[in-house]
Amino acid sequence: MTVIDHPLRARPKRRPLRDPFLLLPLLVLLAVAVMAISAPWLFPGDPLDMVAMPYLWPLDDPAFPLGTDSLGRDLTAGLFHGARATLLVGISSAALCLGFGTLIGAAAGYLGGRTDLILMRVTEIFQTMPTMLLVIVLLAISDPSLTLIVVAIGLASWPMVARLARAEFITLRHRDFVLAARALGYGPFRIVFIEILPNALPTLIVATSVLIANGILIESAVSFLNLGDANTVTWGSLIGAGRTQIRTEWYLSAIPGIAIILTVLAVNFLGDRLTRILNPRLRA
Amino acid sequence: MTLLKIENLGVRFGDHDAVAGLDLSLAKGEAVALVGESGCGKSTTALSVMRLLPPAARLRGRVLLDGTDLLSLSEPQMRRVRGNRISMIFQEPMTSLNPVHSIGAQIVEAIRQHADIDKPAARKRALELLDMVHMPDSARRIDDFPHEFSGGQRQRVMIAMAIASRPELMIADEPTTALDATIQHQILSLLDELRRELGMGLLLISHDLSVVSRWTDRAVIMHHGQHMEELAAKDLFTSGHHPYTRGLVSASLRLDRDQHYRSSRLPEIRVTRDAGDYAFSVVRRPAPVAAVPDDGIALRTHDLTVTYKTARGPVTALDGVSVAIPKGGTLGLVGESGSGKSTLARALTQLVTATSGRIELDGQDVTHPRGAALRDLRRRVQMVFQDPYASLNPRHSVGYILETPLAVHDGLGSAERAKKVRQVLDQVGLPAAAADRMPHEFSGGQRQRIGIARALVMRPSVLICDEPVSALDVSVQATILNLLSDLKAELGFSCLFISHDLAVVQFVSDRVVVMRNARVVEENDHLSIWRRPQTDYTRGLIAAASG
Repeated sequence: MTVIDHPLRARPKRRPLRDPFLLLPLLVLLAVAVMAISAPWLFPGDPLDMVAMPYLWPLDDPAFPLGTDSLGRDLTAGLFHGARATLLVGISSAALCLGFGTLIGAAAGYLGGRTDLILMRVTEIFQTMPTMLLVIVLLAISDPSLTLIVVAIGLASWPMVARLARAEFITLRHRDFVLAARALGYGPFRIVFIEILPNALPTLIVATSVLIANGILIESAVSFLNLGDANTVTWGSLIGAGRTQIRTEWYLSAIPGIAIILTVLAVNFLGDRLTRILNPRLRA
Repeated sequence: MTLLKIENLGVRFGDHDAVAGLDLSLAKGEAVALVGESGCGKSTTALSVMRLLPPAARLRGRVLLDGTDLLSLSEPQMRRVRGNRISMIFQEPMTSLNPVHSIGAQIVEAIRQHADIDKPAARKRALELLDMVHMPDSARRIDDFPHEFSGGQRQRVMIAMAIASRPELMIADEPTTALDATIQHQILSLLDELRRELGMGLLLISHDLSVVSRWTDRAVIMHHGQHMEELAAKDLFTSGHHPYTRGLVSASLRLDRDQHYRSSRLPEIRVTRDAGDYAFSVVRRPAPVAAVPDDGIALRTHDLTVTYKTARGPVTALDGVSVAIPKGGTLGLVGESGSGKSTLARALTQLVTATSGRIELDGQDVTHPRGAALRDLRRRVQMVFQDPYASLNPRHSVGYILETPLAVHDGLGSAERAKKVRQVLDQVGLPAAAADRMPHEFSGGQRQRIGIARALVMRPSVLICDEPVSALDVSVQATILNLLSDLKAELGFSCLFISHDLAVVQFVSDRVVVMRNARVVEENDHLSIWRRPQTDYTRGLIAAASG
């Protein structure tokens, strides 16, 4: 047969871990994850138990490196256990949004026509409701628990993913490779999930990283307002509990605050870098 | 009197030389062509004359405009040259105009950029310019927006903006590549007329040898950033000495050469690189004996009509089209954009549904297949797409792309699939290692081979090729046309070959159909249709194609 004139190009070498904006967020998130996982072993008791003198400043007592609050509760234990709840809420609410939003958006974008019309009107109804208000109302009328917070945040945030997924699917469904897939006789399920979805995924993943951050922030805000689960420590509830002493024992709010800022920033940076890594064209 | 003189120009991106040691001179009022295939550095050369390259580009050498070295000018000085003494038009008239401003406003802005006149005077001048580029009904259309114009008219607007300040030099970078043959002819003759009228120099960048030989005085042939040869444009086809020029000339198809796939293969340029220097050779192969005689009809349409619903009412994309693809032969389909040829391809592959009429495959009705009948049709009728970049899913490996049809239709095991993938890769001339690669790791020609492999992996009896070579360079086009001819001889499929290029259709087809405005205008065998055209439309196409 014919000989090809261009040899196959050598593959470009990739060293994404050299990038500090990928490495640092990864380390931060790894640290948060380790905190969350190790909390029950390192701090086996209930973090809401009074264990020491109140108002111990950080580094005053080596047994309580981050100090204690007005009731003598260990802030270190609170921070570790709080990481658990915070991370759980962030990730599960984002996963819920991503799954549900992508499903609705993909169906609307790929099928078009009447399906699109109905699904998008429903999406708009949810989108017109202020996220925070929806979450607060849901929590106020029922018994607050972490699961409910997750569901409430998910319910309030999925329209963004749905609209994004729909826009991606509308442009992608007319692309030649999708036509080629149809001409090859692939079923709609395969076309949507195997041909189109991987191409839409980078956009959706960035959106998800924003959603994780958003989930963490909403949860913190809800806990700060004391609408969260009173029996679970979260970073938001730590800030909320410490807010009355902000002028004297400011570390009680500042330490969990810094933890939230770092985690949210890390998630955002990670999402940004992930799109580059996931895009095969930008790999070179 | 030399207007533009490029001396030993070099452009370097990182460690890659995009242009290396290029010399070129252009006299006042002269038309010079820069010819070469994609990636040869012709556009980079044009952009370095305009100093529009990204900052990462490192330039050396000199670019003299009337004795002034443009490369030594400061940015503000250069801005007074751009659009004023040198202007440039681009390939894509769709994207070069700003969609939110009327064309009048855009021309006025171009005028006022370099001339200190008030708006009413500039508008009067804009009207004159539109008349100069023969914009029909210019007074009424000056306030229209770019989307209200056709591709050819938009290019006229671009030209009007480019000549607004009566430049000494116009650079046209593939100005007609995106346009139909008849429109291409009009735009090139307009450029020629304006060049004579305004006495400006024209640097025409093109890959199309017929265009170059007809519309320019001299041609400079480039390859991999290097100057290969310079010769008078009229001698391009006859007295090129450089092996690369000769290779390009022999690989480009022309209507008057009567080449046909049953009797010959196109010469291919083989480029080898030895210690940094490129060596060129032209490879000619005899055609394998084509055994399949034309009996019977593989795929046929009767009065096929396709109507699309749009926001502005129904549009008829196919209007009572009856064509027949001969068994084991190729039906060529020629038409300009909007003639309905792609819709026909999509109707035959069931990507759009016929509104009325019938499609028959081997005598069976397959107009509205359902379920098993549709699956069977998918297996037997396959398609090769125009754009080798858009038609492969960028997120799947080549192996995955090729084996999935086998998994979907035949439920073959993975070892069996891998064997078939290796086999089809070999048939299209790619190494077995290609299966592990991603589409973006391949060149355009290689990607088109993958697209052909995907269509052939299920051994279809009919292959629909929708402009399969029009996005490819001349030399790559020749290799793909040869490949298709070889595969046809080897596998014996029937083919519908759609193209706007008459010479290509002449080479690959046994019979030819000409389409216009959703209808079939004319049909005949591949020689008679060009020698004895029956309609004015076909005659016009031939005139435009003969340059």
